[in-house]
Order: sequence, then structure tokens, then C-alpha cells
Amino acid sequence: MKILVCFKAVPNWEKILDADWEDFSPSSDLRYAGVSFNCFDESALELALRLKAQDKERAGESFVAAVTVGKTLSAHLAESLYAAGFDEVTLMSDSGAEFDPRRVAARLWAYAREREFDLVLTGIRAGMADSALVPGMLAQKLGIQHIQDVQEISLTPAGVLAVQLDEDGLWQREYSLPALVSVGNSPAVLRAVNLRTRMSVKGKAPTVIEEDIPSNAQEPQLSRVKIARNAVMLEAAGITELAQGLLRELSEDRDEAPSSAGDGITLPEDIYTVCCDDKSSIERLSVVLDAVTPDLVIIDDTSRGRDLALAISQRSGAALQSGAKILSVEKGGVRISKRVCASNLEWTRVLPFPAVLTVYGSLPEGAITIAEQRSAASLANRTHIPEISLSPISGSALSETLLAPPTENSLSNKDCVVVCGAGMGSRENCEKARTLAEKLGAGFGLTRSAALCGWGGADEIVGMSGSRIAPKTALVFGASGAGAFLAGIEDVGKICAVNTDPKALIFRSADAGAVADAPSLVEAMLELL
Amino acid sequence: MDTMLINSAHSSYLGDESGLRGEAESIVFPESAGELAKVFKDAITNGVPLTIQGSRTGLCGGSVPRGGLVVNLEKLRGALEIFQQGGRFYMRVGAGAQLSEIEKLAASRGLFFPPDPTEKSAAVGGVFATGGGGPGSLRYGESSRYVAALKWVLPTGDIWKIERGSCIFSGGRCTMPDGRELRVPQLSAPSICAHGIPREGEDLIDFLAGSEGRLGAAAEFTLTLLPLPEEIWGVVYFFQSGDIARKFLEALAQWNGKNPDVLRCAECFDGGALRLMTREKEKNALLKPLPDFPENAIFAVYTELECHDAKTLDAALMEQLDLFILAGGREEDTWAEGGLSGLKRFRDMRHAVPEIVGTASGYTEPELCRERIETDFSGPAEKLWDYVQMYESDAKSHGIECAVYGHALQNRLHAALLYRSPKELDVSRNLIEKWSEKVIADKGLLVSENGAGRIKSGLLERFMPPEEKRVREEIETWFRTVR
Repeated sequence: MKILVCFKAVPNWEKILDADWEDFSPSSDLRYAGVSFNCFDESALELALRLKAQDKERAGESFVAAVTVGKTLSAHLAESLYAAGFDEVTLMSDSGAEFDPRRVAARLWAYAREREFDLVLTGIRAGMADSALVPGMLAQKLGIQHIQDVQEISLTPAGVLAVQLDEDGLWQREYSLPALVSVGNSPAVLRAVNLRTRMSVKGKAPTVIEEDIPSNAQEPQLSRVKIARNAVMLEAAGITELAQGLLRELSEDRDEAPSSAGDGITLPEDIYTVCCDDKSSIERLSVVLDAVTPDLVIIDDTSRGRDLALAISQRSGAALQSGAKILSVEKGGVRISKRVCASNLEWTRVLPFPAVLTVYGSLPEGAITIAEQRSAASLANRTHIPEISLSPISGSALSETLLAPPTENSLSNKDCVVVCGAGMGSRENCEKARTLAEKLGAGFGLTRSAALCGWGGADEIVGMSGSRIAPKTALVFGASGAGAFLAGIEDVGKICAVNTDPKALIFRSADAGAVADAPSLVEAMLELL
Repeated sequence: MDTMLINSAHSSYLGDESGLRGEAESIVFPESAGELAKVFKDAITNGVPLTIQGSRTGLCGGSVPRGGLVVNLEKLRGALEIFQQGGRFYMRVGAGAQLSEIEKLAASRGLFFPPDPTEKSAAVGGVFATGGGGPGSLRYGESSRYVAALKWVLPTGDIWKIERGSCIFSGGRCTMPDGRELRVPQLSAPSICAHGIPREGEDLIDFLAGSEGRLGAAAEFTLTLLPLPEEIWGVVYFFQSGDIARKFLEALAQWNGKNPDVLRCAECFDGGALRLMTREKEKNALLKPLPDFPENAIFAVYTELECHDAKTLDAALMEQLDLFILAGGREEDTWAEGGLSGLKRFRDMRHAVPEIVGTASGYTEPELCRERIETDFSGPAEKLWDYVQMYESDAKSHGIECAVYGHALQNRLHAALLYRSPKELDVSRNLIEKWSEKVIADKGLLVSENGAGRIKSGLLERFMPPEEKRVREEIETWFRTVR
């Protein structure tokens, strides 16, 4: 069996100096910060090695390769992969790929196409641009199915058995090969190797394949993410009074609501925009899109939504951007911004029409939603049409078993959401916060850190690797305020944060804050309710 | 700079990582040496008791106030600038600057702060005040050694600028920067603390380290930085038996004696620490990136080797592997990685243990007090294994869960007692006293790199000879005397 893992080594973002963030460019020398495997790619690397071992047990002879696209690959990381059991480690040398997922996919395809891999594994998102588009693009180019959001994977006589998370719950599905698997929030970590094995690969360099396509990439326009809020810290004589103060804050609106993806954007009359939810099928969409030929198509930013966007973009040749926030719609294109580099920076650019965007949050004024049986003529009238869900994009699973239904307390369609971070300290404390959420009629979510501690479901993650939420209010307990999490709450109306560390980053992105022991405050609020 | 009355927004300033909680009337955040001096001067004039705080990461309760005014230095960060002088690199920082900031800036210039204390959110002022070390202290010594100069604020509000080498104790005397002479009589018995009684030839900077606010506080430091080593590797050795671990550690100590410039650290974890980490792994972000420990591992040693020369490092790694196998270890019971990024999860493992010890105890006293009951003693290096066995067997015989970890070759171990009831808490406190007696009998140190704080004040009261107590009081009085 031949397995390929596409991975990315990224700088240790937390070690980058403020001054270097201000002057950041893809060519900045950030070696001092060190590099590590992107967390999702690391899981993919480990899962591939487990498959290799499993294949060996059934007397198979797996070949496992790892490939990355970028300027350099750290010698230590390459050696680690060889030591761990990868048969081939390759660097597709490229200086222009960081903000160009199509280019990354093309280079990976160039490596993979002639080697006929049975299985390709990638992390669900990686790299500076964090587009989450490369797996789908690569699957398209290779002409293989894309199995998304996988947490675990094992071999079967017919192919592979994948544990996947989607909005319908946690599923175990069997798929035939070949396939591309994108790994999401998996608990798998890259194995450690013993000293002699590690020493034996010292000096073993990766194969380097130089770029053969000249790069015409423009330097991306990057700026530090603006912090629009600075928490007003609550003061009170005791914890009960503090709890009262927080409840009061939750009931009051923020003075100035932040903008959502399409908030406040009115589409010019002559820009034809179509919006569809991610449950639309490409076949039905094709009929409608052929009829109306929109300038701009907007889709929910989910795994399915991105696949849909890819399909539309490939079909129509439209420019594509995922996870975008619309800043303005202009004559020849749409000005967008996107959080990149672990949400530390914003990338702003104009995407020329025709364009396809995946966005989150509310839709711009004047957009038209796709409905199943509306005629092209009625669409052209641009009247607001209620959405009708279409059948989801069909998968190609050979069989499937539901392992766990979706978590009941949804993150969407709630006026308030309670989010717990690792600072809550235990599952028990998070359960108390969940009870608080129920009493408040609020949704419940977790940071990725807290979810990977096993304190809730992966479908409850709020942040870049989970859901982006936009309720009126959010109560954030025990989260430090990492960029990837902040990206998930940037559109919340009012954020109230609780943390024991007065210097926690979360307070720079919250409207109200309390320096207190979060579990104690949860208990105090429960008593008041 | 406003002095504020304490309210619930300041609740986190009433405790630290020791688990103790205190009370105070007011709190102030000075932002310069001048402001700090004014606070001290006003306090001594008006008889207001002070508690000086950095980032409140101390394990011994030194930051926990008992009334009076809290003086928190988190805003006293200074400029954080690196400069070169005489071929060496230095960083000027305020006492409130955190180690993480210092290390980040140093790394950007290919430098590092050698002692490398584990808790990166600690303020450099707090590290100095407690006489902090770190895993890197095996090779590089205590943190104070890398203070080239400092600005010291006396309890009287006077400010001294001290350069290393300018004030040295000789014959029990030292001329201070203000021209006064401090005379300290020689004790008839060695001190039971690493700091506080000057040694012959000791620099004033090193003498002030570990004084925990009694003699004043540093407002600003000039830290010595060193170039990052070209090569650095980390190896975790797991042991299936205590006998193999003992043999390896003895051999490693001998090897280190002959090759002092390669081994950067040697940190150990006993079976209790490994079990604790296994149990907490799923809940702890520092431990999650680690694979499962080898089955039946009852002890582990984490070493770091560094060198500017790859061949020397390669040879050292192989020699140590030979020591391990000769002692009875199995090759498959090692983990190894090269480069700073690769070492991160091993270093996080070292950092995780004190973190989870703080929350792993199953008994919480009223008012959320969860006092850490943990040794932090320094015994004779050659008796390391005796101490490991003593901690483990005594705790086991009383049915109390115990995790032992720390600087192996220096016999500077933490034995954390994870009590679960008031009865176990009492037993744990008694065990600490019993072990203290052993340390005293072995002429070890009751207080080494984390200070005494509140937690060890009872031990010092009991075990410190009256002569030493008197001399310390005299020294403190000298520093508090208005000129």
C-alpha cells in the first residue's frame, strides 16, 4: 500500500516578536521562533504510520512518504520523520506558495500524480494562509474522493474505516481507495523514537525538488489584526457581586456592535450575488448558476461549503477565497479580508469577478438565496426567497454507523453562548458551565484546548478549527485568548471574559472582563439563577 | 501610580501557585524604580507591612499577603533591550518582565538566558527574589550568576546601582554602594538555606538573590545572555527498575564530572510522577503532545545535551546510551529528539508536573485553599537515591500518593504529597518535618531555589539555629535602617 502525507511546518507563532508581526511578510526570517508540524498535519503523520504498522501486521508492505511545499524544511523535522518510519521525505521547494493554495495543490499534485498513492492524508488546514482549500483542490486534481474531518482511520479489506465528525454527528464510515483524507481534531500525536534510531538518521536530508513554475505571486497585503475592544474590568466586593455584575453585562447591549461577514454591506444593483447554504447539491446549483451567471457566489464557510465553493470555482473559473469577510463590493470585484498566520494577521485583497467566497455570519443586503424550485426569472427579480434545504452532497461511503449524535446544545441560533477554555481545569467544571448555559438559554462551546482535554465534543469547538459564532453575547470562561480562538468569536456582539490572569490576551478582545477564578464564578452565577 | 483598595477584581493577587490565599488592604503597581522607592519609603515611614509580588508563580507562598499593602511589579517591565559590550551580550529589563518575553527577545538574536527556569510566566524579579534556578542550573548555575548589574531598592527607599564585581564579601564584610559597611559574623554551623548568609568571596548581587523582599527588591536587571548552542538534543530514559535507574544516575554523575560542558540538565521523575502524568495527560495541554509512556516504566530521567560541535555531541549521546544499557536499560525505552522545537514537548513534560501537582490533590480546604505540601530540599548529591526511596516509601507507608521529580544530579528534589483529606494533610505536614530532620542531619539545605515563602516559615522557625536567626535579623535591620 502506498500512503502519502502532505504536511506543513509552521513557525511557533507565539514566539514571534511584536515588532516582527508589524513588519510581517511571507519571506520574513523567523527561524528564531523555531518550527513545528502544524497540529492537524502532525495527527495525519501519526495516523499514516499507524496504517503502515497495521498493513505490516496483515503482511502488507506499505510505502509511506511525506511531502511539503515551502521555502525550506528544517533538518531536525526531516530527520524526525525518517526516524519515525517515513520512507521518503520530500520538499517541493517553492518561495511563492504561502498564500496561493492552488499553487500548493499543483506542486503536491506534481509530486503525487505519477506515484499512484492509494491514500493521501493531509491536515484539514495548515500554513500561513490557513485556507483549508488545499485538501479539496488536491483531491480534485488527483480525481479521488475527499474524506473530510477525520479523527481516526484504520484499514479494512475494502479500503479504510474513518471516524468522521460532521454536523450530523460522529460517524464511522468505510470508504474504498484511492482517497484523500483530511484530518481534523484528532487526538493522534506523532510518536517519539528511541535514541539509536534517531541518531541513525542524523544528517539524512529530505529530497528537494526545485520549483519549475515561476512564481508571479504578489506580496500579500498583511496587517496586524486590529483589536477593537478593550475590556472594561468589573469590580465588586465579592464573588456574588461579581456574578451579578456579569449577568448584568450579559443583558446589556454593546455600545457598538462589530460587523459580521456581510453586515452593513449593500450590494450594488449591477452586481449579481447568489448565496447558498452548504447543504446545496452541486448538480442543482449548476442548473441555477448556469441560468443566472452570478458575479459573486457566497457559501457558508464549512467543510462542505468549501468543497462546494471549489466545485463551483473549478466549473466556472471563478476566483476563490475561503473564510472571507466582505469589506466592500466594488465595480470589478469584492474587497475581502481573511485572518491568516494563526489569526494574528489580516490579509486584505480585491477578488475580481466572477468570484466565489466562503464566509461566515450574516449575508450582505441584496443577496439572493438559492431555492430548489425557483425559476431563473424569479431569481433575476432579486426578491428575497426563503431558503429551502436541498439534499446534502452525497458521500461515497460503502457503509456508515452513527457513533454519536450531534451535541444537542447548538452553537448557532442562540442569543448567547457560554465558552469554556482550558482554564476551567476539569470536565466537572465545564459541566457546571454547561448547566449555566442551559439556565441562561445559551449555547455551549469549548476552545480546541478544552475539547482535546476530553471536556466536550469536537463539534463544540469554537475557533478556526471549529465553529465561528456570532450571538449577541458570549461568556468566555478560562480561555487565554489565542488567535485561533479569537477568530471564532470576533463577530460576537458583546464578549464577557473571565480569567485569573489580568494580562490574559482575552481581555484585549473582550468588552467586559473579570479577573477571578472561573469555576467559582460559574458556581456563583448558578446560585443566582 | 495609584494605591487602590483591594476588591474582588484583585482576588487573584491574594494567592499564588502555593495554593495559599491571604488578605490585604490595598494594592499598588509601581512602574519605575523611583515609584517603587517611594512606595517603600512611605511604607517604612508609616509602618505598613508590604508583600512584594512578581507574577505570583512561586510555590512557597512568598507572594501571599497577610494584610497591609501588596506591591505588584508586573508593570515594572522596563525597556527590554539587548546590547553588546566587551564582546558579550546583555539585556536590560525591569523586574516585572516575564521570562517568556526575555527568552523570546533573546532567541530573536540567537541568544538565551542560561539558567532557564521552568515557569516561563515567572517575572525575572521573582526568580531573583527566590534564588531561582531551573533545569539549566546543572551546567550554568543559579539565575543570579547571570545578573551583571541591577538597580536595587532598599526598604528605606534608597536606590543602589550595583555592578557585578564592585561589592564583594571578604572576611564577613562588604562595602555597599552607598559606602556603608555591612559586617556579618561567621556562623558556627553552616546555614540551612542557600541564601541569606554571605559566603567568602560572594558578590553582593548573589547575596541579595533569594532574599525574598526582606532586604528590598530589584527594580531593574542587566542580564547576561549567551549564544544559543549550535546543537541541542533531549533524551528521555525510562527505567523498568529502581536499581537500573540508580546505576544509571551514578554513572551519569561520574560522566558529568569528567565532561562538565555538555550535559545541560538531568531531571528525574519517579513512578508516582509518571502515574500522575498518565492520569492527567488527557486534561493537560502540556502533556497531550506526548505519546504514552513505555509500559511498566517506574522511573524516568530527562537529559539535555548541548554543544557547539556536532561530533562532540554525537559522541556524548552514544556514551550516555552506553551508560544506560550497561546499567540494564533497554534501547526501546528511550525517546530522543534534536533541535529546540523538537525538545518542546519534552520540556513541557518537565513543566507539567509542578503544574498538575498544584491541582491534583483531591482535598480542598475552605476558601479554596489548596496548600501545596511538597519538599524542595537540597540533599547531598551522592545520596540522591536514598532520598528518592525515603520519599516514596514513607509516603506509601502512610497511604499518601506522592510524586517525586526534580534536578537529579544535584539531589534537589520535589516530593509532592497529594493528600485527599484533613487527616492526610496532617500526616503530610508531619512527613515534611521528618524529612527536614533528615536534610538537616545530612547537612543539606531546607531552602534552595524556590525560597521559603510562607510555607517553609514554620520549618525555618523550628530548625534554624538561634544564632542564624539572630544574624539574619541583624542583616535585615541593617538594610531597613534609614541612613
